[in-house]
Amino acid sequence: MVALTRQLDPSRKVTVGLFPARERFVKEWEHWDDHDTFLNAEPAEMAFHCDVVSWNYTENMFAPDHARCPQLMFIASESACNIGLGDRPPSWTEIDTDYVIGHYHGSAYDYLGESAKPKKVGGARAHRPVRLGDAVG
Amino acid sequence: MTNVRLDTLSPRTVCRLNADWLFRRGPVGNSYERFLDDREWEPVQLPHDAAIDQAFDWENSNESNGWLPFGAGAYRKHFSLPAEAEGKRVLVEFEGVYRDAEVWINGHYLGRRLNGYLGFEWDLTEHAAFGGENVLSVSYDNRKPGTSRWYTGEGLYRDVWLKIVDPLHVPLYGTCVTTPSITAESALVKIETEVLNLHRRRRLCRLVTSLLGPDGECVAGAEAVAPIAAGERYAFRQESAVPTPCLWDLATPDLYPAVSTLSVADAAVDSYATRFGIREIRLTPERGLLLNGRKVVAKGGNLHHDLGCLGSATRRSRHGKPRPTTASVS
Repeated sequence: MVALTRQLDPSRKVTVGLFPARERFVKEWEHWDDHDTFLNAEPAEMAFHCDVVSWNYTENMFAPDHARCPQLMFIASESACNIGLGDRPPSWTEIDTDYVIGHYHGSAYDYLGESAKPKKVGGARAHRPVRLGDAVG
Repeated sequence: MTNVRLDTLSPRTVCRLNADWLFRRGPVGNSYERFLDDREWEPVQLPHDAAIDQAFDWENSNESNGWLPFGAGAYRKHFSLPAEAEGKRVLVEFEGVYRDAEVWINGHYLGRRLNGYLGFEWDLTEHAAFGGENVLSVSYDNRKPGTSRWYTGEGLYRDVWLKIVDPLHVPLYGTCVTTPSITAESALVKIETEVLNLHRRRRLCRLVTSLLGPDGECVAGAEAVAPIAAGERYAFRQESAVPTPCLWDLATPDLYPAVSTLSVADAAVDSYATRFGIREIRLTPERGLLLNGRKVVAKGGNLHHDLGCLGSATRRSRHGKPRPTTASVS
């Protein structure tokens, strides 16, 4: 796919928004109790085949991966500014913009979709906050 | 009915075909027949989101689609073509139809496009009535749930264009402009231009590419002549240098139009404009994004293709001022 995209437009870098998982699908929200397993996991396999690494919701891994794999270039292709994940702070505070290309927030705009069914008309929680599983599902 | 007229100022006629369509809900049925009594159909204007005004539906929808129903529907558009367009090609471009679109001209099947986001352009010349009335029929079927993870809207939610071009013309997205080398004194511009010859004979085609500055004056250009066989799609490759270029940047988003003019035996047969910016974008592991050599942090938002409660058929005026992103990091 990368080769095909490069063939269609050799003037641009190729990236793909990666599901917030590490190598072999190690996911942060399945490892809150043994967080080291998540932190020590290597980047997702596809990261090494793109020109730019686009990660969703795992900005806390940019710094260790920047140190481990100095050739990687990072962009936060989806990030959350209205929720902290587990004990993590809001995601933009985790980015060192000296070397990171930039970041894209999932809450920049209102839209209809990915919305919960209202409990009842006028109910207090017509739109509940997005859980991570919803945001990436 | 829209009366399409030839553009007297350009060899290429481009007509936005958004006004006065007819719409009815339900599967395709016989909606594409040329002589169909459609007087009871609902008049609509494009862009049109056929789902946004429906009642929320807890059975025939889901969370991803904002609980608006998944449906099917059909559109018809009556228009006339001028008699003097005979011998030219008539093209219809759909910028996007959600989803599984099928298109007919005067009852003749043109094709099917499953993807709801990719635009497509089809040639309807063979079945067009010149000097008379035509009917373009479009059906869509969005009844399959789960084709997107967000609210999609449905139907003809983007613009439709009708084009009348010479058989020798630049096809859709036929140009590619890049700026591989930029200094303060000069910018190298590479222009690749595809030309399609649908005449029955070869044509000796002259391509003049003019690069216009932000003020509209010609600042550079290139010229080439090549024979193009009947049915051939030929790619011209040209280079030109723009002196003291105005760089595209965040505060000065200056664009240069590249105007491609095709002529045969000194008669212009097509004119095609491509806007481009002269800018250098570099990505580095150490400093991230460098725009024209300057460090820039990309700050953006993840947008789906709708406009909140207004649905997916949006107009520029409805967007209003862009909202600031919620995070400010620099």
